[in-house]
Amino acid sequence: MNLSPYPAPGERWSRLVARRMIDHHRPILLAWGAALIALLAVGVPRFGDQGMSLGDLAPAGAPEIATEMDAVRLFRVPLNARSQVVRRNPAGLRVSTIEGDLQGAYSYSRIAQDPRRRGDIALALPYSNVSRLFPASRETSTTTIVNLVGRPEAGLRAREAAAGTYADRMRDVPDGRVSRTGGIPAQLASGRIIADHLHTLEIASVAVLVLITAVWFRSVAVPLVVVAAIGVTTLLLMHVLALASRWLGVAVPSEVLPVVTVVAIGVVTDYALFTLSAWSAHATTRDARTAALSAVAETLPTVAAAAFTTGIGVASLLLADMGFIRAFAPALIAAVAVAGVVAMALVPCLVALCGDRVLWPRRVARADPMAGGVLRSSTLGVLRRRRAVVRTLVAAVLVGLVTCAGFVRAAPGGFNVVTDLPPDSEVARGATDAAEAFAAGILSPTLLVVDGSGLDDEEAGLVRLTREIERIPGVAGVLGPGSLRAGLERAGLGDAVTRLEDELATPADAEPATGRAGAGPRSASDVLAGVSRGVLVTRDGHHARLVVVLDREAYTGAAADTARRLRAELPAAVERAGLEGARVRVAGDSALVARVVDGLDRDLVRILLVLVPLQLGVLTVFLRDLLMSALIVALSVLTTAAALGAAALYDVTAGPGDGLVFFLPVAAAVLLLSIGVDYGVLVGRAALAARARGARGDALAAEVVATAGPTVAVVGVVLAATFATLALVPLDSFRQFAVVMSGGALVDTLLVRPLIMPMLLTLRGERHAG
Amino acid sequence: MRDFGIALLASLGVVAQLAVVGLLIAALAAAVSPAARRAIAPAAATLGEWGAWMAAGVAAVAVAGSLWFSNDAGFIPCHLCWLQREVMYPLAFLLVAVAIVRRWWLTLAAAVLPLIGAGISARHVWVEAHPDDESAACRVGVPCSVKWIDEFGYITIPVLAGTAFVLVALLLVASGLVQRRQGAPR
Repeated sequence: MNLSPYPAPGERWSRLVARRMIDHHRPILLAWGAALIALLAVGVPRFGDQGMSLGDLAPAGAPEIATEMDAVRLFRVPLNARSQVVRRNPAGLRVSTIEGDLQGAYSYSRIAQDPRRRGDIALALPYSNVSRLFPASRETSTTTIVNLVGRPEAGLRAREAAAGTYADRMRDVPDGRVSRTGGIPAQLASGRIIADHLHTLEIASVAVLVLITAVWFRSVAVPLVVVAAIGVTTLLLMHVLALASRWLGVAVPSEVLPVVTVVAIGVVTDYALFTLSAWSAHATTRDARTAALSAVAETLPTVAAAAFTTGIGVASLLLADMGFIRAFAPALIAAVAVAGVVAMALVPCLVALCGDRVLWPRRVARADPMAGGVLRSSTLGVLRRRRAVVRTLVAAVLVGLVTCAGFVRAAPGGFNVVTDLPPDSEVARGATDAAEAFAAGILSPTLLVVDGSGLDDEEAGLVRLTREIERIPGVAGVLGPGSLRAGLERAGLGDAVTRLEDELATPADAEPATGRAGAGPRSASDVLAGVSRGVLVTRDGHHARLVVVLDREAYTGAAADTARRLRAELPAAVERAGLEGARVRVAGDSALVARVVDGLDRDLVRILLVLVPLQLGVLTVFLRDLLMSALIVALSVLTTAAALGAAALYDVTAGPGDGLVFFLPVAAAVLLLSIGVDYGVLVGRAALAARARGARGDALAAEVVATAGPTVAVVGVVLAATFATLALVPLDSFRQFAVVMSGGALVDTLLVRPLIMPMLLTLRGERHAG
Repeated sequence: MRDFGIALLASLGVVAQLAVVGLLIAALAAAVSPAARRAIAPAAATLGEWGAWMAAGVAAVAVAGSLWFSNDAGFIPCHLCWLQREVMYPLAFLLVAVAIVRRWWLTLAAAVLPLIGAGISARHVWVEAHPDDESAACRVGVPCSVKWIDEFGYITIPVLAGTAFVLVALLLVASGLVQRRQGAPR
């Protein structure tokens, strides 16, 4: 009786290749050894530790970037920066401290204008929540934020270092906590955290693999073979990536490297276990060499098809519009290709070299042909006696998966670069302090540029527009013309301003409303309006700008949602404000995140529209069964959507609610879909082989469960454990990725492939029988 | 009119909670006492026959109630309200199909959907009681901790939704088990 998980006999080509490899395994291994020594002599390439910036992700010509540049040109003074220093004392800052911080920023900016003393910071722009004058203030006189606007030519690290120096100077005054924060420090901190944890990640994933394979096979040699395959794959991959990086002139972003490494480790382990499981099953009835020949001949087509479909899957990322997603593709293709080559050209030789010692220290139980038989007969028994119970379970799992998949859009996608960081990091502490004192979006507000004419005489209309925008859910406050008066009213000084106005007011025909120089004494309103002129309204009156502070951290998915709502409601708000003929443009990081995420959504649809039919076609060619191929792909799509839906549901109900990190849907969809198809191939081949032997209905399901089930289960657990190690990187985005990938892999390999798929295949058998 | 509608829906919620308690007591009694099993046999038979339809009816009332709350009473649905709607609305249609097909294993399997919905409702009730635990997504727009109604000292909208989900799940489980015992088609 053939108890191999791959009951189908190998293809002719695979038998030929297997024989050549097994016969010549020693020279092949020597060649591998020589190549490895050469690679080690060259050295292990290292990659940069600089994370991605939002600007790197944004599509070329994004209107938000153009508007921001335009605003700097029109108003000269940028009102948002991506690097800040925050000082907060919850008990209240001393007046002298606030004055010192404001004066210090003013002096710093003046010095920065001096061409002889130009630093990396062009402007230090401070604001404080003194008397809650500033919009979106939540506390009174507890916090000063200094926006550090960098020079365009200064690098990110230089700007971060300059912010550090600035923070050190502020720390000279011991009042409250001073922290360096903002998008740029957050991006660099993420990159450093990832680089610092890369080796831990590799060691942890290897340790997990060794443990699981050792326990599963009750062998020391199997984990050693797997570790050898992983080591060779990792080393080879690093060199391939370095070469590709040099040839294509593309840097490998630090966010990409851990994912690529884990994918390579997971994939090569899976493929190695395909071969080792097959050998283990064959060895119970045959000698070691014949078992190796049979195992390799049978697994080569499976590994080749699996690597091909996975390769197609990750290559589909090239269809994306977003450069960042496209940048993922070459690295992932390299990872899958290298893993496939190692699994097909190295692992069989190692198995041949080990011979009977593959299961060492355990001996192969040659007279144990019932191992698979017991599983087969017990599965058959359960299916026949408890058929309806199994059906209930299958239907319940399907209902659960469909329900979870329904929540796939529940959480918005976000960049989350600040909220991603550990709460005790300096950047996160600074952001928290700023959010406590103002609103969470204060560090990177959304900018609205109003284009029109005569806006310098339209203060009332701009104030009405400010009020309209403040009413939009998710907006914490708006800085615009009229904000100073509103701030004074908030501070309880509204009556005093009105009295002052009454006392100073002169007839309108005697005092031009513009309050230009030389017009005599000005009213309090004109004084207040004059404050905004030049800074918030251009002197020619053609442009005005409003700074919108959102109540969520600017890079999160929730803030991006608010930016979308803002964009949609602006035309009506402008109309209600009575600003005839005015047009409003949106800039800022939240709007940019919304654009990037929307672009990724479109990319995902485009990728799936190509990937799903392509995988269906490849599977149909490989399995020669359209219905089974469709079933494999459909279940993969369902599992992937369910994993993402469950993550989204968790985030919005019990999680932080910042949304899923922007790359998660695309990366998880492509990887889970491809990996699911891999397992589907294994189960599909087992089903075809069982059908070729005449099995139908329950017998077919039992055969599939007994032959492919254990292998799928172990590779699934191994893959899930490998992805779970990504959670060791203390960034929320990596934890989200780890949970989605591990959960998806476990559901796919423990429920969908060994249970749902065989049961659905039996339905087909029944229909045919009927 | 608005007060009457709120009172009516809250009262229906209390009736549904009594039905949940009744079902649980009956199930417990049937599990431990043959006499009780005999006594409730006619009711159980009815439940087997009509349980899925009853569940569909409960879901339909819940859907109508939620639409009335948002469209007529003017209560803006929060983030968690929308998630519960995403479960309840398809459920109402799915249960009609389940009732028509009348396979006991399908009736049982369909109970997964209301159980997921009940989990979301439970979280929503928790957020109402502990606004500090509100996730950030809940703080955008209408906060999830806002209690639009508070009848009888405990009936809020998520309590009503949770009650409907639990009642639907119990009806489906009970109906499925009775159908199985009655030898309904597989």
